[in-house]
Amino acid sequence: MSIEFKNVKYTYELHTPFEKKALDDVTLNISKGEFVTILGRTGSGKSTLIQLTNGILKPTSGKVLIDGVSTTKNDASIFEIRKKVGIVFQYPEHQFFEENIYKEIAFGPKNFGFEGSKLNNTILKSLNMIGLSTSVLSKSPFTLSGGEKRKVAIASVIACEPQYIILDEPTSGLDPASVKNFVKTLESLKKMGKTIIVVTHSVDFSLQNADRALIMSKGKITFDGNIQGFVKSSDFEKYELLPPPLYQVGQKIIGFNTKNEKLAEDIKFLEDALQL
Amino acid sequence: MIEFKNVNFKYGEDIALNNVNLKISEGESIAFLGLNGSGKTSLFQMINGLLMPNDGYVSVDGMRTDEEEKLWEIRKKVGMIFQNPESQIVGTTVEEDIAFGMENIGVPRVEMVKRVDEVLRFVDMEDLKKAEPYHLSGGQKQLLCVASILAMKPKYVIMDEPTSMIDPIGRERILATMNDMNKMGKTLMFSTHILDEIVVSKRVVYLRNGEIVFDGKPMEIMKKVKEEFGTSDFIEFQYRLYRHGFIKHFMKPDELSERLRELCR
Ligand SMILES: Nc1ncnc2c1ncn2[C@@H]1O[C@H](COP(=O)(O)OP(=O)(O)O)[C@@H](O)[C@H]1O
Ligand SMILES: Nc1ncnc2c1ncn2[C@@H]1O[C@H](COP(=O)(O)OP(=O)(O)O)[C@@H](O)[C@H]1O
Ligand SMILES: [Mg+2]
Ligand SMILES: [Mg+2]
Repeated sequence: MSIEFKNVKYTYELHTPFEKKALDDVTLNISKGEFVTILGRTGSGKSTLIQLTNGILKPTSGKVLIDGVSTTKNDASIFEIRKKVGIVFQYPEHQFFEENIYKEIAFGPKNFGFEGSKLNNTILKSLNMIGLSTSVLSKSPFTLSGGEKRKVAIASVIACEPQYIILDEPTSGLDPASVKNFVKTLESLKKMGKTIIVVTHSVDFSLQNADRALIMSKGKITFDGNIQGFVKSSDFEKYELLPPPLYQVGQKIIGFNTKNEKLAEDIKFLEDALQL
Repeated sequence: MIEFKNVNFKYGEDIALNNVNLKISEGESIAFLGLNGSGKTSLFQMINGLLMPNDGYVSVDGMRTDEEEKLWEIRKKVGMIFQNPESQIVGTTVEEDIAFGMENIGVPRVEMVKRVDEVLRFVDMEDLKKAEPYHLSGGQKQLLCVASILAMKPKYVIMDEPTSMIDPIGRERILATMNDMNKMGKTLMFSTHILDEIVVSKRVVYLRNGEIVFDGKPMEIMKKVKEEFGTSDFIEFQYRLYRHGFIKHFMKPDELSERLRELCR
């Protein structure tokens, strides 16, 4: 049970003057139950990779397999794949079209055969999981603030009960309290055995939540492994990443000593926070 | 100066701004914080007259936004980058998009060409000059909006969560750009959820349910809203140093390392 990429290449607008190579020979295996984060600069191919996982984009060459089934197969298997792989897109609010939030969240599950009380339950459950009150259900999705819209988008994917949940920069635009709550949501999804893939720009988020990190650069996966190990190796520059601000300070003050007790205490705080 | 005087605003029944009073002087750089739905975007949209107060008024350099004949002048002064950058892109190429805004406010052709290059260099997108915005990834689109607004050289620049979709290296660039703009004398207002970003501003306004509940120095916001908004290691570390008397205000990483070096000498 896994998501497999075998030598996947993807080029936008192939055979036109606008050809743009976005993925370059990506090979990857994500097993059931893993929690993976994807990091990398803007334009490195993260969103492209994600859209290949449920057949929205088809590989230009190579193969993408979901539980062994290729995304280039027929429509029936694509339907099954979409049921298994739920994606929260980078700008999810662009996809809203229903008149109220209940219908917006119901759309996906209904499509996958949820009805009656099962439909109702999954909607309420996902709403609760993401920390929205039921009072929003009758509102139009267009009247929500940016962060609230994002939560609705996440809820509408969770409501489909996919096995693989893939989120493209889900926390951008969420306030810190919501991020905390979102992390809890992910933790409970993980406990339920779901496979979770999160694109993020936050090394901190990755450190705190993921077992494994992929780093992308120019359409290639340049790092695939343990993020804690990565941070210790301090190879940020090579991977076109920026250390979190406290790391930047930490790296510069290694070996500083002081006789001032208070200052020593503060520096100890920093070292503990960074586990230096 | 930008002024909010007893401003109330509702969407239907929903209160979005509740008796907001605010004065923003020329040259300031202000971070707006608050949970999702606290009213930041609504407040920003009042400044260039996209939304009008139900009560009270908003004025820009003495011109009220409810005086229709002034709106054009106000919008020339106030450049706004929306939370959702995509909605703002109109050109069919990057360069056209940047030119579009300038054309609207009557920048001469020769000057336009010059500024396009200038701002593209600024956001490090020179090689995408001829690209179609549709082909850009999310972060690149946001950078394009920043470039388009900068090209119009507005006096006040409002950025609604400008860094929320950009990778850290891009973000550093935007923050540095914001810093430079402010140094040039532009008045800057931005909203953010990334607490670490308050180190680039000297004033923080915090909104809760449409009300301004804090307006003051970044360092002082910590004890007021930490419970509600949370904190970060970086900010927490600096707050400790502040309480122990080692620093007087928040610093960027470089500056802070330098200060620690001094202290340890
Ligand atoms: N619809 C598209 N058409 C053409 N090129 C695209 C399209 N979407 C993305 N690209 C290009 O593909 C590359 C990878 O983009 P993307 O996968 O969105 O990166 P990321 O999500 O890491 O920012 C970028 O160079 C981008 O400009
Ligand atoms: N177009 C709209 N129609 C109705 N209500 C809205 C609309 N936009 C925002 N609101 C509501 O107004 C309040 C303030 O929203 P907003 O200014 O977007 O907050 P913020 O930018 O701080 O997240 C929220 O309760 C939100 O639900
Ligand atoms: Mg992306
Ligand atoms: Mg907003």
